[in-house]
Amino acid sequence: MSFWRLAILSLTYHWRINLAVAFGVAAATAVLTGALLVGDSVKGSLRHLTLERLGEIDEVLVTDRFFREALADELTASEDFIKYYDQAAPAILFPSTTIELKHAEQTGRSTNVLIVGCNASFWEMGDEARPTTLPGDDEIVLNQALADDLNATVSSEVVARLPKGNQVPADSPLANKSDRIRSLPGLKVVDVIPARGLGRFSLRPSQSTPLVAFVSIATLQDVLDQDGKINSLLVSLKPNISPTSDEAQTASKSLASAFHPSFEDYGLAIKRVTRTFKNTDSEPETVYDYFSVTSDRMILSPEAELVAEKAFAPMSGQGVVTYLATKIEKESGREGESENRGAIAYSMISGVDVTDDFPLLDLQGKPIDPLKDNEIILNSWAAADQDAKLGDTIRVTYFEAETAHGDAVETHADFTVKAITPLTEPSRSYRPRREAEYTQRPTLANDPDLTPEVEGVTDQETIDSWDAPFPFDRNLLREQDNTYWDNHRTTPKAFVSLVTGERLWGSRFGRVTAIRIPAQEGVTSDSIKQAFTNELAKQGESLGMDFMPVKRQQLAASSGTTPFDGLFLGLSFFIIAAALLLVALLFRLGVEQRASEIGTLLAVGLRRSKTSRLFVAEGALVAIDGGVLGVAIGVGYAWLMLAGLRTWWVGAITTPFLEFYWSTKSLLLGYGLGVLVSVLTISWSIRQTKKLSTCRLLAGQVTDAHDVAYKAQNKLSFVSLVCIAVAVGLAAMAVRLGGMAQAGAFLGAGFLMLTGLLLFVWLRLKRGGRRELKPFTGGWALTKLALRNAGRNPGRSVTTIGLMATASFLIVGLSSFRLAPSNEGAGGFDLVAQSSESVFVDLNSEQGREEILADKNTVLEGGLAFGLRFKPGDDASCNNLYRSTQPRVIGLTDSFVQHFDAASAAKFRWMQTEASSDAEKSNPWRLLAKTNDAAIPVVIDMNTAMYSLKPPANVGTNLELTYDDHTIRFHVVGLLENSVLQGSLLIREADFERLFPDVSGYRYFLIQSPPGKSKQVAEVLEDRLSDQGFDAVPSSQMLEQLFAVQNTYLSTFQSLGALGLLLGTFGLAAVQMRNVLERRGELALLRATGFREKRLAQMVLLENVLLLVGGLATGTVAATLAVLPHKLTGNASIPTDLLRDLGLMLLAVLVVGVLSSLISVRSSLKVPVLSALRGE
Amino acid sequence: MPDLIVEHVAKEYPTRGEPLVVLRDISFELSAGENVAILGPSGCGKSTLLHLIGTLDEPTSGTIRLRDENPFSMNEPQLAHFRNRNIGFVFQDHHLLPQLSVLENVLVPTLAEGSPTDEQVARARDLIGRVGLAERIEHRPAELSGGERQRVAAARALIQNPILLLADEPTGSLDRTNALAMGNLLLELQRQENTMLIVVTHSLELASQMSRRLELDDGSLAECA
Repeated sequence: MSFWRLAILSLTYHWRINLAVAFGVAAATAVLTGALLVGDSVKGSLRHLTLERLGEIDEVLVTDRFFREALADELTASEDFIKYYDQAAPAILFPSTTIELKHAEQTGRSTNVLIVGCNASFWEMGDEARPTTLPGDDEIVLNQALADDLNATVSSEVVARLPKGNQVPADSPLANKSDRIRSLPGLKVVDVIPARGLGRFSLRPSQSTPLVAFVSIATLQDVLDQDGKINSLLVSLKPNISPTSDEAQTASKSLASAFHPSFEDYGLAIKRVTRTFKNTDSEPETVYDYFSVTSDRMILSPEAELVAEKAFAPMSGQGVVTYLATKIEKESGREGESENRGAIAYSMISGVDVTDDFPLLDLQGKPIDPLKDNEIILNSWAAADQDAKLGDTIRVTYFEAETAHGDAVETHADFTVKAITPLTEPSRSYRPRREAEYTQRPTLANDPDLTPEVEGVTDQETIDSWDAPFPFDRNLLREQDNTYWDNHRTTPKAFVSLVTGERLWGSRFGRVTAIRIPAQEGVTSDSIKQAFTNELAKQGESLGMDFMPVKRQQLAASSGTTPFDGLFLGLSFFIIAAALLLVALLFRLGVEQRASEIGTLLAVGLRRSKTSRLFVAEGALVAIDGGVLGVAIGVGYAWLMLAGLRTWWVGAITTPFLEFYWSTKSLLLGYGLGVLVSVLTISWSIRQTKKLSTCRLLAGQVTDAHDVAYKAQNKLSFVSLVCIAVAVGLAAMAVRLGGMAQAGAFLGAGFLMLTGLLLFVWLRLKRGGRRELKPFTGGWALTKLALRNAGRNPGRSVTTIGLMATASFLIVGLSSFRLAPSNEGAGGFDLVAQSSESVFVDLNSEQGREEILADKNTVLEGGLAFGLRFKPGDDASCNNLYRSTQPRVIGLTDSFVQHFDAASAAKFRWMQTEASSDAEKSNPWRLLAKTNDAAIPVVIDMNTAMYSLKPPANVGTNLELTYDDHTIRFHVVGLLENSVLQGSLLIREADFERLFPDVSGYRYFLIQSPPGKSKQVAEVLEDRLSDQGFDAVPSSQMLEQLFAVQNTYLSTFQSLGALGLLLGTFGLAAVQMRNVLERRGELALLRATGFREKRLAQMVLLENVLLLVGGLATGTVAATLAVLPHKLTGNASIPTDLLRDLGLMLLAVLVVGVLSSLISVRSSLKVPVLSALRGE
Repeated sequence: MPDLIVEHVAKEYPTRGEPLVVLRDISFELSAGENVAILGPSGCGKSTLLHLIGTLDEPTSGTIRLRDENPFSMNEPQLAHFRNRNIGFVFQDHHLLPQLSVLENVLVPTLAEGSPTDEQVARARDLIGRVGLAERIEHRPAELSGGERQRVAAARALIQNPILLLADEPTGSLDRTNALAMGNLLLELQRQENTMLIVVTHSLELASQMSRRLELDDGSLAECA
């Protein structure tokens, strides 16, 4: 007989109780393994989604300008490309468009639709969901999600609204704001493909099913006037190269070197500007001859200018900024004089450097010296018109270079006339398709090419016919202004220094409208282009033409915002604890049954340690077997959790995309952890018998009347009080914490509270009832007796109470953290809207409302509608399970910030801020205006800060995020609490404009409707701004969607709590059965002394109910005390209907518990009285 | 008329073969203030007879009448009430509730149908005093000796003023001294309470203290000399 043989024999002999213990171990292991597998499944499913929606597409180039489609062929012909890549597909992508279904019977509108202009090469990059026929002219293919959203079917006709490409930045006063959208009407739906594979193609990492429409490239090129041009390239690696491998990184570098966009692909143009004059009796004479580098967006971007400056410096390149002066007039000093003469209206004025390469001559033919900041040169026409002489003051009135809400604001600057440069009048004016002709030699000032092309302005025959995007007052026009236009078109009438021009008319879109390079030997258009591309390569600048390793990035993001394995382990903590308590309880019961066996072993000379080891060994064997079962159940548990997340708890993951994935690591880890914690629990259980004497054990007794001395009990009372006090303190501290720390503090407080209360209950039971003079008198006799009976085995009773308390703690405590939409969550705004295309008017101004709402402009009367800047990006809210690397950014206007200065304004709820002054404390949005050279002040919703950003952010944290190839440093100045603005970074408009100069207009709206008009406002705005894809939703609905994640997690936790309750019920039944067995003699005696069956049943039931109620009460008290500080500070909200649900849930717990108690009641009635009385 | 009349009582247990006859044609009578010891070897059916008299088990045939009432014609609640009010038990194993004090244990039978009255509490205190445990009234069973526990059980048996006190091997787990004291106590209490006392025992010493002795042999009862 060996040690292990004895253990195995004992194991098999006591197989019933050991089987029960094994089930307990299996439960603990199952929960542990299941949690790990849920984590595997979330990661695996996100990864699968990424691979599915991108197909074979590994890297993409998406720009906001159009470039040659031929670039795709040039790329694929490159050896650097062929080495690593398989194919490249040209495409036109518009990530945020609007599609409408307009039919006699039904209408539908979908916003934020991704339109993919593609050809067959795109579909070769995916395996699934290929349309049966590719869309041809005026045809469109929808994915199922979009078709469902629109209510469209095959053969439906839809209208797509797209942004026009390559436009002047809309926030420039010279930009056309009303003609920025192109419509594709009459697109026939030829196929609806499943939202699988490329059917759910998206460049944004999100598990939500995107709305995608597919049209042919040619259709888009045609409607956008971009023949032969595209805005995207999609490339795929060779099949043997993993996108996450080092080789893929090398491939990316190779791709960059293989990609050679032309000068024109960057949206730049080069033109040789030459004017010659040939007198009848002389050789042709060159007046000026230079190359002009311009942008198709009127102004060169700061990045392009930087490259051009360096590239063209050796060629004496020089910037020019030409702008529109609404008025040029001489300040006379005598009131009324200028009015009589009239200001020169709508003129071009240039900022240039007067140099040897680009001189300007005065009336005497002498070169004019470089201009100072406040000096101006007038051409002779302007000087004559204004009767201006040297030294006179000239006022130039112009629009500010950037507009807000499309409002062009006029301003002016005064200059001193430094010189007058001659302007030759033509002999024949401009005519359509004919330049002006000169009989007199034109001058250097006769240069209309200094002005960039502005659609609707510079291409018009008369000023009168200008289709001006800015406020255009024809009344200002004089006859001579029209004559000037006839003779000189866009020729500037005045010149200031380049520095001054840049200062006055430069903007976030750029500072110069052209770069002039004097014609010289060796300088050609080609050499200029080459110099530019060389400099680009040297600076490592791509001007937005770079590939993004989209698959690699999204696979990295698929590791998720939340470690679901850890999350579910945390969520399952109480179940694991409950399972381990069950293990302890069952094992202890087994030990108690075998108390005399232990006594015998000790009596025959085995040492206590060896006896303990024997039982632990037996328990370990049980745990090892139970663990195997647990892993199998764990797979089922994970599957059930996933089924739950796909159905009942889908709110936690937004869309039911989860599939089951597993890893050997998780199975082994779950098994190992399950067995380990079970063996530790078993070891702890067996330790309890060490206190018992051999004699008591031999007598089969497992309780010791004197096991805890009163002195020790006093100490434990103190410990109990300390636990409760620390719990309250910790809960109070948790209010000031956030995220995981707060959750940890809450759980810690709850755990301590539970411990303290259970210790307290145990001590109360241990000490028994008060020594009354008249025990059991005065009613409630049976209850009192039942209560005393519960104290018969305090440890066992407390274990039962603990199990029930754990479950009720979970249910009550977490319910208190449920979120409900509040006015503070929406900052008092009842509608939140987003548009596919920018809106340029101020909906808070009377003029803006009239412009947009026309006859319905009164609908917003008494309300507010703040338009906010919007930089598209990752949804960094709880709704997105992918890790967010580029959260969307919202730029808050000054008027929005100032709105919250009013004491009467409804406020957002702030979790924490850096506010120090009273003004900042009163309106923390003011913190955004704090200048910080190192970082941009940003406000984030606490959920985004804690869960979506990695690492998590807090107030004071500096975040570094990369947008458009630039790393931006943000400084968190405030955290909003559970707000409708979750998922975005909130910065000041001024910072926004600086960071994202390309973004114009407003796409995000917070609306405070007049009371009772919320629905009406939404309908009117959606109707009037339908071209822009304006989509308004009630903020309460949006908050509910956002809160659904947290609330669903809570539901999940509560369901897991219910599982803990189930385990608790098993434990309760086991304990009660054991109690009945132990007390069969007593119960028989009670029968003998006249207790009726009913009364006996009542007593046993009462005992069980007391344990149940004790457990529920302990758990509820622990949870309530732990969340009370949150509640008092207004951080926890408990909706009324939830209180009802809570009550029902606890009632259900009670009912289930009572039902399980009936088993023991039945057993107690079955006790054979005679044999029990005989002690048989 | 005797208070207890046992007439032609038989008890059989079914087996695979012939029924096992434990008691056959048992008859005897007892009046208030009388006591009797039932002797016999182990397994002869002494406890079975006691349990039948105590209405814990039902005879196969014959009748048992206590104060002219036939308990076996009663339903379960009536029988429980009858037992609670008329019969007190003392077993070899005292069956005290370990979680209760001496006083509370004595009061347990009063809980069968409600709460103890002040009178019952006073009676319990009195009984405890009479069994010599006044100083231990707040103690729990674990804090008492075997003899003391059995005395508590005796007090408990008398709390409802039963007319019949049944003791099944009351001294079986006690030493000689304690056994003698326990016997004396039972008789003393019986006399004080004027109840009937039936003691089932192996102990001739205890039996000798009783006024009557009956011997059970092979299922039949006979007066001892």
